[in-house]
Amino acid sequence: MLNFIIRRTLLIVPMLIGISLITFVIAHLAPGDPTSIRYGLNPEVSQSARAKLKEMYGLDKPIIVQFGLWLKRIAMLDFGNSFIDDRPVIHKIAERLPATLLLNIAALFVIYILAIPIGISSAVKANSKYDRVMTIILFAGYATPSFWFALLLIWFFGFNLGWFPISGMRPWYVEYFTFFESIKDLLWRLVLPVATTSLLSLANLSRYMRSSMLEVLRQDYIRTARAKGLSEYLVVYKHALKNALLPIVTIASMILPALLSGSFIIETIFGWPGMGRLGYESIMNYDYPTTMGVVIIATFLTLLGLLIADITYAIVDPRIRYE
Amino acid sequence: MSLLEVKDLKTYFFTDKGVQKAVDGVSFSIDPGETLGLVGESGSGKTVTALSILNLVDEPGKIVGGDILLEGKSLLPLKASDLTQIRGRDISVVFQEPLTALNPVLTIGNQITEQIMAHMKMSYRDAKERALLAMKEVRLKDSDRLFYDYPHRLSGGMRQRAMIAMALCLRPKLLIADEPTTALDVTIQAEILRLLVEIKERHNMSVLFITHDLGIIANIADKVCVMRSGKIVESAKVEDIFYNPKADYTKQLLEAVVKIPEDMRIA
Repeated sequence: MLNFIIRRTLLIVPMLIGISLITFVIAHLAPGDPTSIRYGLNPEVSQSARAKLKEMYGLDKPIIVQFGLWLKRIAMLDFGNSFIDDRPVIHKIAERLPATLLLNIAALFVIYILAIPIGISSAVKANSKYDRVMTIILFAGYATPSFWFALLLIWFFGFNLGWFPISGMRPWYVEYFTFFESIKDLLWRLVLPVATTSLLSLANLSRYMRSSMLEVLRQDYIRTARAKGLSEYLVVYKHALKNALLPIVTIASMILPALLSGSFIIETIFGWPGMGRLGYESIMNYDYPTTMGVVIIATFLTLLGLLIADITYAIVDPRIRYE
Repeated sequence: MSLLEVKDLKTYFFTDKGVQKAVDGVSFSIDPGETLGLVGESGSGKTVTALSILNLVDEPGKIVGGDILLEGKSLLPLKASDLTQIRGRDISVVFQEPLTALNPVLTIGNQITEQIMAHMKMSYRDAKERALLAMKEVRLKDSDRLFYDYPHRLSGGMRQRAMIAMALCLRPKLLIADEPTTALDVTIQAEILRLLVEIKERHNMSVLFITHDLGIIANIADKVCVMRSGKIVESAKVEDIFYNPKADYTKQLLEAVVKIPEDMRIA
């Protein structure tokens, strides 16, 4: 087991390099560069000044050389400075990461808390009216684009009803609040972004849970459990659920990347000061070091999530032992 | 009075392609301490008959007619909660596939004790004691360690022993054995059969033994019912079936058996 964890952790390194190479190339292939956004449209800036600027940023070298230099710095955990404000990228990300983690962990929590009971109840009452209505709602949720859903939520709950704030995480007046009030305010502000973030994966996961449960309920050992005279409660929640949850653990590894990439859009819409919005802003500004920093951190978090899912799987399923 | 009486049982499957009459008017009875062999080819309705007794037939199957009496009381009108009292306590089942019939994520001990605790008011400690006793009775070696083991760590024969321990730990009046040895290899088959016969004699249990293997029937049954396409074509004492078969189908079945010289037979 320890062997497996070490091996898997080491595997993260080549995957990080591969993913960052692809991102690096795509980011640099996009038309325009940092000099064009600030000086390209200004007739008073000469071509030679732009060339000098490019040289300063190292943008005149071939892409692969630039990538090599970048990789060399990253290897020493130096993420470089932002092109926009010259602050270290690592500081910028460190400021933003907690907000993203808060949003996504809250969403993950909501997804699992809701999806598992929905999946179980739909499977136990398969093809009933409840199951059919649930199926329609979930497919609608699955098909809804999250940016559109976010705007609907903002319009209805934020604007029409005025129940929830529509933007931001920590308003300026939060420093006048007591600790308890400030937590309450934060939770209040989490509702709409978390609802948006959860929607897609919630629909996804509860369908998985339903089919996993249906599959398990057909198994021979369920019939054995019934033949033993166990109550239906024990049959469903002890014998079936434990087996049905196994695949659901690994599906977390599919949800995590979806959540993190969703953050780019959702954080921007809700003015959430997280890493996703930082990434979005850095892309719009050709701020390569920041973009790459955000991608690296997000990739690392995703790979870490996958590793945790695999380890959890070995813990919950007695048949699986990684050698 | 017979222990179990099945009268004109009809279990149909209502599928999209029409009604499948899996069991169509089956009647038999089992006396206390008696072993009834239910023989027939695959798909003849043996297993559905067994599952109907405990009302375990899955959708789209349904018991549409007849009656099932345990010690004179009908099981069909029982509420689900009353039925669970009978399942596993008065009537136990050993299924065909020991590989899939045990829950892979629960320990052997857990699966035996939960059955005891579902039917008896007992502390976990007492239930565990009783489970270990049952495991010893079916001669599971090293039962203290196996108690905490998961099914995938046991061989097929050991799993079937664990299933039998589970089925017998509450001393049921009737044991339904649905092809309990079919999935095992021949030497293990003989051991498991001997074990079943031994425990049955010791506790004077009744057994409904389902199989397609006439050799096994000859060894253990008192009475035999031959099933085909959901109906019983012949039912008689075991000697009569073998030496004086009436129905053509029974004769065909007997002719299909591979003959083994007398001195090479088991048991």
